[in-house]
Parts: sequence; C-alpha cells; structure tokens
Amino acid sequence: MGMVKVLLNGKEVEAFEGETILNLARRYGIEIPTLCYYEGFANGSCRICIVEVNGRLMPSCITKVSEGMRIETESTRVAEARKTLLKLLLKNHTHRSKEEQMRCRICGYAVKYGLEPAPIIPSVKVDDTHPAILFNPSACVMCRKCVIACGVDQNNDVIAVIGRGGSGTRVGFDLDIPMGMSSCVSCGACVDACPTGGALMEKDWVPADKVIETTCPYCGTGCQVEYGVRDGKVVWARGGAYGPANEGKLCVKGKFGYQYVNSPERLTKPLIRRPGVPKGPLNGRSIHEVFREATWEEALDLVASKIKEIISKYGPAAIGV
Amino acid sequence: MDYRTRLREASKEIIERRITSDDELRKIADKYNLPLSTVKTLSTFYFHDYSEVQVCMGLPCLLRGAREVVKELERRGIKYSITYCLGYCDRGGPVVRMSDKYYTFVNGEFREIEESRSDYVQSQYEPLDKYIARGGYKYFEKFLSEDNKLFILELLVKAGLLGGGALSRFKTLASSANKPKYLIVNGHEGEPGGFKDRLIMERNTHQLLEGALLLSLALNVDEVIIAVNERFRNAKAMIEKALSELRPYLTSKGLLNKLPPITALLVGSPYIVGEETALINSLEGNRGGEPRLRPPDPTEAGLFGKPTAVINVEVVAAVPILLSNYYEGKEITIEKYFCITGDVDRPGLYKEKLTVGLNELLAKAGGVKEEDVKAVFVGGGVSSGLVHSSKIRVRLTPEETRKLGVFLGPGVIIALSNNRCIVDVMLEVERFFSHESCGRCEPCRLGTKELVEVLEKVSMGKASEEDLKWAETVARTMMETSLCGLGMSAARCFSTRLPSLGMSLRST
Ligand code: SF4
Ligand code: SF4
Ligand code: SF4
Ligand code: FES
Repeated sequence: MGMVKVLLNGKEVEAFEGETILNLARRYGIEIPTLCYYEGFANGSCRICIVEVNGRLMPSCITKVSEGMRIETESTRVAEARKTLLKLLLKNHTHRSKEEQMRCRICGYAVKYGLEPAPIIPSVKVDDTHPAILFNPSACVMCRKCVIACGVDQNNDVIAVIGRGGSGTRVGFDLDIPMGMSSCVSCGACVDACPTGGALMEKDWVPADKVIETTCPYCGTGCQVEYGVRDGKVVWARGGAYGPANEGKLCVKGKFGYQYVNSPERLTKPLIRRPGVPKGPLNGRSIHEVFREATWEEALDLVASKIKEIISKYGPAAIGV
Repeated sequence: MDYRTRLREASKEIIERRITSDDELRKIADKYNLPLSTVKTLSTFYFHDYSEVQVCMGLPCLLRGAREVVKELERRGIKYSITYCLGYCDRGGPVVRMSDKYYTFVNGEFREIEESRSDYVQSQYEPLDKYIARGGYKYFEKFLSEDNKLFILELLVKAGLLGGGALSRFKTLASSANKPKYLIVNGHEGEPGGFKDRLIMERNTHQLLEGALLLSLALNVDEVIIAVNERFRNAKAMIEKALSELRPYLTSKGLLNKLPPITALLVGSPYIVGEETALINSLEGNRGGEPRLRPPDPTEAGLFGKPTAVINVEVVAAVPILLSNYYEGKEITIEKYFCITGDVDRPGLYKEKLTVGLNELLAKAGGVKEEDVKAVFVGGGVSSGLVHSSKIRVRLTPEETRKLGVFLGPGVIIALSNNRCIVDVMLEVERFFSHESCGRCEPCRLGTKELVEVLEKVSMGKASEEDLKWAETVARTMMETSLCGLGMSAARCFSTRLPSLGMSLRST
C-alpha cells in the first residue's frame, strides 16, 4: 500500500493511501466524534465528524487522505460548526428517562462541548408493538444507521427512510406500518446501531454495572457477544464485540434470547438417570424424579465406561462423533 | 432481471404512474420482487407532497396570490396540498393542478392554462422538415467528418454557456477508455420561476436532439438519455414524436448506426432531483434521487458508475446554432433564454444576448419602473443571487454576474417591487428549501427548519438579538458542512443576501 504524508494537527504523519481522515486520526490516538459513521459504509449524513482540511470543513469519516493535506481536528471553526450541529440535534430529539439520556451519544458529546443534553419528556408517543424492541421516533436523529444495519448489513430491508424535507423525513418499517406488524426478524442490528440509546432500544433495557465479552452459546457459528450484567444477572446482549464470525451482528436468539441464563430450569450440573427409570418424555414428572445431580468426574467416568462397553461389544466402528 | 434492473424498472413505474397507495405499492413490490420498504421510500420521496389538487407556493406564484388560492379552495371545501413549481409561472396568476389539468387563479376564478394542454403543445411542435428548412442538420455530416470534435465544447465556453471547470472535466471524459459513457440531458427544471427548458423540449425538440447528437459525438459517449421531469409529460411526448421522425431520416442518410441511441426517461419532480448526482441516482432507481457524495465527479463515475456528462437542455439546444455560426464564420454568440416573473406586467420567456442590462430586460417585461424595484432574483432564481436595485444596471455577462454571486444558467428572473417585504420573501424562500431538502444531511435538514422558525419570528416582530445570532451561526454551519448545493443555497440566501442588499433583519 502506498503512503502519503499529511499534516495532522500540525504534525507531519504518514497515512495509508485511500484511508479516511477518521481512520488516520484514530490510528494516531486522536478522537473525532462520530454519530452516523457505520464501519464499512459511506453514510456521511450527520457531519459531526467534520475537520478542517486545507481551510475547508470536510466530514472526516468519508474524506480520504491525500498527499500534503493540512488537517485540523479541533480548530475554532471545527468546534464552532460541531457545536452548532450538536445544538440542532439536541433541539430535535428527546429522551424518556435519565437512563436513556445517559446512553445517548449525542447527549454525551453535548456534555463534552458544554451544552445542555436533550430534554427528558417521558410521555411521548412510542411504537411498542414489537415484542422485544421499542421505537421512539421522538428520540430519533435520522442518522440512518438503522437503515444501513437492517438493509445493507443484515439484508433484511425492513427499515427505510420515509418522506422528504426539513420536517418530513423519518424512518419507518415496510410500508410505514408499526414495527410489530412488519417483516422484522428481530435481529436487533438496528438497536445496536442506534446512537441515541432510545430511538430503537431493547424493550426491557436497564443499565448494566459491567459488560462482559464472550461467545454466544447458541449455535456453532461462534458469534462474539457482549452481555450487560447487573447484580450478577445478564440484562442485555449486543453484538458489539468484533469477532470475525459475526462482525458485530447477532440473530434473534443471540440478541434477545439470553434470558435462559437466569432460568431456574437451566442445567448447571451434569445429571445421571436414576436407576430403572425408563427413557422418554418427562410427562409432567419433575426432573429430579428422573435424574439425579452428579459431579463432572462421575459423569465423565460413566460416559467413558459406557463407550468402552460399546467398543468391546460391537467394535470401534460403532462409535461416531 | 438482476436487482439493479428490477429497482430501476420499479422506480420508473412508480414515477410514471405516480403510485402512492399502499395497495399499489404492494403490487409493485411483488412484481419486481423488491422489499416493501424499498418501494415505500421511493414513492414517499417522489410524491411526499402529492395529492389530487396541488397549489404551487413557488415565489412567482406567491407573489401573484397563491395564498388566495388556498383560501378559495378552503372556502369550497376542496382538499389540497402545497407544492413547488408546477411550471407555468408566467401565466398571469398562481398555478394549481387539479388531477391532470393545470389552472391559474385570476379575478376569483380558475382558468385552465391553454399551454398545458396536449393539443396546444402539439400545435406548437416543429416537425423535422420545418427544422431542416431553417438550417437543421445542415452541418451535421461536416461535423461528423471532423477529426477533433472537441472544439464544439469551446464554442459553448465562448458563448458563456459552459464554465472552464466543466470544459476540462468533459475533455477528460471524452478521452476516457472507461466504457460505456453517457450523456444525460438535464430536463428537470425544478427551479420555481423556470420554464424555458420545458418550452425548448416542447417546441424546439429537433434542435435539442441535434444538439444532443452533436455533443454525444464530441464527448464520445455511447448513449444519450434525456431526463425529463415527470411533471412535463407533454415535453416527453414531443421528444418521442421527434425521435420517431428522426430515426427514418438518419437511416436514409446512413447515419443511424454511427450514432448513439437516444431515449427519453421521466425522473422525479422534487427540486433536488435536478442536482446532477441526484438526477443520476433517480435514473438508477436509488432512493429518490438524493445527491451522492463527491468525489467522484460524475464525469469519472456517474450513471452505473460510468463516466457521465450531465448537460442542461438549453445548453444542448444551443449547440447546432453555435456550430452554424462557427462554420459560417459568424460571431460565436447566442441569445439566452430568460424567464421573467414577479412584479412585471408581461411575465414570460425572453431571449437576449448575454450583454443585456438587467434594467433593460425588466423594461421589456414592463411594469415596474427602475426606481420602484427593490431587488431582483437573478439566474437560479431563489437559489442564486438577489440583486439590489442599486445594481440593476448590471450587464448580464457571465463575468459581471459572477461578481454578484449570481449563477445565470437557469435564467430565472423574479422582480420584487418596493412594496414587498423582504423578510416575508426570505421566509417563503426558506420554506421552499425546507420543503425540498432531501433530508439526507443534518445541517440542511435541521438547519432549514431552524431558519424558517427564526424568520417566522422576525416576520412577527418577535425575534430577539439572540435568535438572530443563532440563525447566523446555523446559516454559516449549513454553508460549511452541507452535503450538496441545496443546503448551501438555503443558507446563502439567509446570510449573505441581506447584507449584500445593505439590509439587515435587525432593521426591518
Ligand atoms: S431487528 Fe433486525 S430485522 Fe428487525 S428492523 Fe431491526 S435490523 Fe431490521
Ligand atoms: S432510529 Fe436511531 S439509528 Fe435509526 S435513524 Fe433514528 S437515530 Fe439513527
Ligand atoms: S444539502 Fe440538503 S438537499 Fe443536499 S444532501 Fe443535504 S439534505 Fe439533501
Ligand atoms: S460520522 Fe461522519 S458524517 Fe456522520
């Protein structure tokens, strides 16, 4: 890959040909706020990420570096314009609660730039027809990340931009019908993408006290997943971890099906069938009438002895994995 | 059909049949095997203000009493929606479309606009033999045998119809090996107060087609597409009629297979679709026709990612005339079309040399005396410059007008007399931009809305110093960060125009 030299905040640095200014800045540890930026796609709608390039303001997330560029990421002009853009967004969205407001990236930037976060109005009209997702249009800032997530990234094509104009543009589902009646497959990608923390959100979302990264336990794909944990319980899941198998995405089970972790019926110890109890459905019997709890050593010994028994009786070809 | 083709065909059908109902959209989605959300986004982009009765709120119509029309419709209990520019801005009164017919509202009654009727348009059509008799195709074969055809572009520059930047981009396109290459003739003309391109398409159809063919040879393109605003159905019919006359003629001369094919396609009517990247998006069937990010310039990667030149109807139609001038050793000049509306007695289409004074032009249209003019929107109408009365003697040459921040191309002239309140005019202009913002980028989507709010306050005498300062900051940010020219014009109209008029919102 070719290299080009640019001036980044007064310092000469090497940039990869074809990389965006945002990418370059991040590599050098310079933080540029972004809102609509969706990795791998040219969105470029919010303009929050503007930087000054040779005296002009340019969105850094979609502007590629070129030889000799003079880039300023926090000049007075940049700060002024960024603040104005933030103010416009803050005037044009609301939250339902303090918790939602704290999740909102825009409100986070607001605090950083010394502005009031967006107002809290609990009683707005929301679309709660979907079993797992809540859509609150009043919180939406039209960044269009959900549209990219649903359409281009997940290929579900449920969400689209509806209408046109300063006041008439919004997002909608299918033929602009309630989300719960739409063709949504509940993959949750839109929820994970939404930067407002409240426009598209998990219905039963609560703040977590820690986040852990792990592998989704459901199928063999091996998606990386982040669990929000509160009081020792999983309270939400998101495909935020960048595993190569899922690149931050999940399916309905990974995203919304984590409750089994906290279920009293969940198997946490190996079980061994009680002697003489026939195989077949439980048919209303409690699990403990059919099985008893065992230690891992005991369970593994039992399996090993049974395998040996089969091999000695029928030969090694009788075993398959 | 692959996905792109299905999308394009669906978009075409939605535009052509003006489909807005969910039942019909569902059928379209089925027919082309597309997601419901895709057809919905297209339909609501193109027809977000569509209804059986549409009232134009473009500045020329407003100045002629569009608000009265609204009152009258309400009095009669007729449901309506407001829209911008239906295209008959010079017909005496404000314009209203009721199903397929166009009316103006004069002296308390609705009169059908004769010029909008297809039989009338037919009667104005110039057939091929007439066109040839007045010199059409005279130098076509001579030009065909030229080795270097690019000089034709230089003629356009000389005549003031093409800028230097465009010239060099077009030259690069002509020599590019990336094929196929396209020429799109832009017949969108969504600017309120503009009607010249529609009239050229309807009346000088063959001249337009010859111009398109000449340019296609110079630019070395493989296909020509005439993109016609879906509101101009008559114009499209005339182009098709002309094409059916032209094909046998070209065949008889053994030329047909030496020339790229020409097709006429309808594109959506929203103002933003006239922007060249939006126009390309519209032709490809992408959401509405929102503008694209640049770079790349369309001349490098335009329609279907291929090099594409987008050239306006008037410029294309000028080519045969300029070519004759050139071969006949005459001066390389052309009369430009001006669409004059606003406070004048005889609104209409005027043709003048690009040396005419603005005051002389207005005098032709009669009405306001020079000293009664407050200001004039010149060129791109509301999205271009507003010229103060003190500058009314400016010569409309490209150099002089550029100094005033005026882009002459669309040729729209809207005169404002002294008894017009400039704040109210600005408010209406800002409402137009807000209505027409494609909604893609934040500064324009929210900024136009914000400026409308502040101007409303100013107009009611309720704006504080803080409001005005805030509005100025918003306008500056819009100019600096909008994705396309619409957002920038919307801001410029607010922030640079008033000061350039020596006026300020603080004093009105
Ligand atoms: S949950 Fe998935 S399928 Fe449903 S709207 Fe969101 S992104 Fe689309
Ligand atoms: S719902 Fe969220 S992700 Fe979608 S456009 Fe609104 S703010 Fe952006
Ligand atoms: S400036 Fe306005 S019209 Fe242009 S892309 Fe942005 S929102 Fe759309
Ligand atoms: S993050 Fe770059 S334009 Fe939104």
